[in-house]
Amino acid sequence: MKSLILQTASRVMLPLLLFFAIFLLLRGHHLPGGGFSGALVASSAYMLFAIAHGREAALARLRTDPQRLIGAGLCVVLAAGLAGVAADLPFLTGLWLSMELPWGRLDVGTPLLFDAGVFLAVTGVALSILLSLLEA
Amino acid sequence: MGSEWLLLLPSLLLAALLAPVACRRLGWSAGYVFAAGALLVTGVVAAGWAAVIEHGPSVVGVPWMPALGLDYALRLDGLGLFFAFLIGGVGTAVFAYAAGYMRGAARCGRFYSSLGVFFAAMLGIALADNLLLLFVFWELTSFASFLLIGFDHEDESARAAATQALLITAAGGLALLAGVLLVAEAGGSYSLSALMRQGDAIRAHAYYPAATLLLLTGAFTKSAQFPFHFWLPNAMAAPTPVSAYLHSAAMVKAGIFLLLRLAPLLGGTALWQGVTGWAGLATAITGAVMALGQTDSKRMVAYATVSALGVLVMLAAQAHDARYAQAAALFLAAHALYKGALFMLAGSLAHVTGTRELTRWSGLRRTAPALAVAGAIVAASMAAVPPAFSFIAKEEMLAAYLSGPGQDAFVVAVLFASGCYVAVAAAVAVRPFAGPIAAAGEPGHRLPAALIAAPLTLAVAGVAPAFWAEALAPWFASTAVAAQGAAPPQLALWHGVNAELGLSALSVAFGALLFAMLPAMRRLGVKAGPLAAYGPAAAYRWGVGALLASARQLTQGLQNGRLTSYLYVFFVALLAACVIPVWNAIPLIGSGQESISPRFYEVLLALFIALAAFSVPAAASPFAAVAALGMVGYGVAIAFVLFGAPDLAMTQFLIETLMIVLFVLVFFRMKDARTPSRPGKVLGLLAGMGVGVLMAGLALLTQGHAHQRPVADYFTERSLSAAHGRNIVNVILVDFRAADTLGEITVLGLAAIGVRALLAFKAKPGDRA
Repeated sequence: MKSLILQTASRVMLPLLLFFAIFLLLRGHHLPGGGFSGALVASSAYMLFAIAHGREAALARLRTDPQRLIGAGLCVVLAAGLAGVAADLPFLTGLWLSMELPWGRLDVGTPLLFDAGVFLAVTGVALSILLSLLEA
Repeated sequence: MGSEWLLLLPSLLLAALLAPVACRRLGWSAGYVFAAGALLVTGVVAAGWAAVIEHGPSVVGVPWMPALGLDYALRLDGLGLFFAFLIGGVGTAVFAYAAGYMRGAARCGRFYSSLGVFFAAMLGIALADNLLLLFVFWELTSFASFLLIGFDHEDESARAAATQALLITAAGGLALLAGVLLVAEAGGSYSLSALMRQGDAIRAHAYYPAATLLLLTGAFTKSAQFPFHFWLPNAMAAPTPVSAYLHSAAMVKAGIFLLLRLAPLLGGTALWQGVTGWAGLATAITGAVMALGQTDSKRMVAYATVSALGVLVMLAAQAHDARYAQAAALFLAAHALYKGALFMLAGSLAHVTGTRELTRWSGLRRTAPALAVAGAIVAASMAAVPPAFSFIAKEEMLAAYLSGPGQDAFVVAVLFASGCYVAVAAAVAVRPFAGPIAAAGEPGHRLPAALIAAPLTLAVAGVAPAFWAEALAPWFASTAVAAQGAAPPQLALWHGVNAELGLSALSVAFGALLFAMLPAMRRLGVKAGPLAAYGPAAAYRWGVGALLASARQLTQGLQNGRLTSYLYVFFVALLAACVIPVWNAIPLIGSGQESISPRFYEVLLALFIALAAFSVPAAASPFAAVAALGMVGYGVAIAFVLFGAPDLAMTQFLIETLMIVLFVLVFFRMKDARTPSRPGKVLGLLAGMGVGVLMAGLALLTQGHAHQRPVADYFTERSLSAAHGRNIVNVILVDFRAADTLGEITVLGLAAIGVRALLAFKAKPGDRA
């Protein structure tokens, strides 16, 4: 369905929603959010675009296959898990780096990498299924 | 008696499995090699038998599966070694015969392998001491028999006959196993040697009737007793060497052997004697009568075998008494020898003439004069005419029956059956050679030497021992050692003119009369054909057909390809499984927590969700139903917000949105999707409500009944300190339970790939939605 309003709106919403998705991913550790929610928001963004502009346009904006996203996500997750092994700890142990910044302490760790992998994988899954269904 | 006996069976099985290698080198002539091997085994068994006569029985064994009570234990005693000797001797002749008979056929390796496995398994039955071991070998013989009967597997009747034999003997095997378990329970051991000392205890035990009936069923199915007899004539679809070995001399005798083995444990009671005696009698008469009406040579001999097995079972009914036990052993040996020879003879004649029909065999004394000699000897043996060994056997049988009161029915049965055997012998082994030379047969077709030598050897072996009867007496006496009383100490060809001799003469005369009336018998047989529709064979066919039909209906009903019916089955099964435990636990609902006082907006929310849920089945189109479903999801998400679970609420909102999109796309693709009919909707509503109520009930039941400190406390304590995060839900997902999350996204990935694969198969027009 080619609705002009929807087409224009979705062109603007896509980058905004993607920002929101990454925002959710990054805040997940201390506030409501996280990898799953972010992934679903990202998928909704692309689906909105696909409904307005069609499947091929959405895939072009995505720039890769959704299946590659699944694979990439799984690889990132495994890398996050193996980081602990590199430090002679059990698989999936979280390693943390504490940094003192002017405005406070910042803890960065492998669970964030894990969450990013989850983000990529779930985005890939949702888009893979939904975009396949769009294939008329 | 050393443990070198334990090597016998494994080496025979190994040799059998290597048979294809021999066949590749020698072709069918490998049979002569196997015959030599069988002869060697026979010699070893004979030596063992002699040792047992001197020193008494012994047991050798090693534990195999102690947890199951299965030991690889062999009992070396007179009865077992006698049977093993018979198996080995007839087996030698069969292997040699097969080398000549089967020449030119295919699948040589498979034939000799199966025959070799059968040979080893029969020896296993003969020598086994542990009852479970005996059962293993028992089933192995059924399996080998299946392969051999169905050897010509392109022929449909051969396949059907093989399946029939397998089903019947395997069902009997199951009964045998059940009986073995009960007997072991009653007697306290799986070892025959131990159980034989417990005879009185077993007979008095509560399990005795059930165990006896089950074991008898096992023996009767194997030995083709009425009403299980019909598989034996049908098994004549097998090649002749197989018929000569399995279905006359070896496999069908296994049941008799089992009865003789078990008689010291279970025999002597009214149950044993009654069931066994009358089953044997029925079989003896039925087999004899049906043999007379046949025109196919192999079927005639097969029915005569059924009858002889009936006579043996009649004897086994009294086998706790040594007289009967020895008579049974004598007849078993004599029958195995002459029946094996008779089958081989019939096979050779069929080979020469190209047909199995008796009516077309005539004047064959010119074509195969050596066979005519064999035929005369075999006929004398089968008719139990002196100087055949079977004459001695028959005399001993009659003497045993006449020695006690109330055996008149059995005496009459023995005489009647013997008369029929005379007629059959004349029809199959004498008549074809006499008379005018018929046109059938290929002149100049030379019979392979084996096809003459093997039957001739067996025939002579069925007569020669009569001349050494006195020397053989201790050998046969050793087979009856476990029985009570004493076997008659002398076996002789001539006991003087007595009642037994008179009765024998009477039965021979009767037989001659039957032979003269044979054409009339055959006409009667043809007229009585339609009666077979009420017989056991028809019952079997009906039973198997009914089983297959009901299986087909069940599969088509449950696995019909429609997702809705699978879901219904699942839900109904779930409800059925849970209804009783939940019903019992209803009083516990709400018992573990403080009273609930809902706020008004919570009630409103609950009503909203319920309303949306009930709109789903009431919706007019699939899209309306999807919208209603979405409303339910959003309602649940709001509930999450109200109860302080922001992460869950966010995820639920997002998921619900995407689900609505997904369902719309799915229904868009299913162009011919219909909303279900009224009854369908009501049924769906009921199923859904049922599962919903069940889940709500379970949730209420588990509230406030925590058995351990909630895991939540553990996580709350450590979330910030150890995992540097304040959002406990997220910390659990990516840190504490990261392995679970890894598994979940892997599964999600697989599901996505699966969905893509399924969608890639374009449905063709006409496929069901």
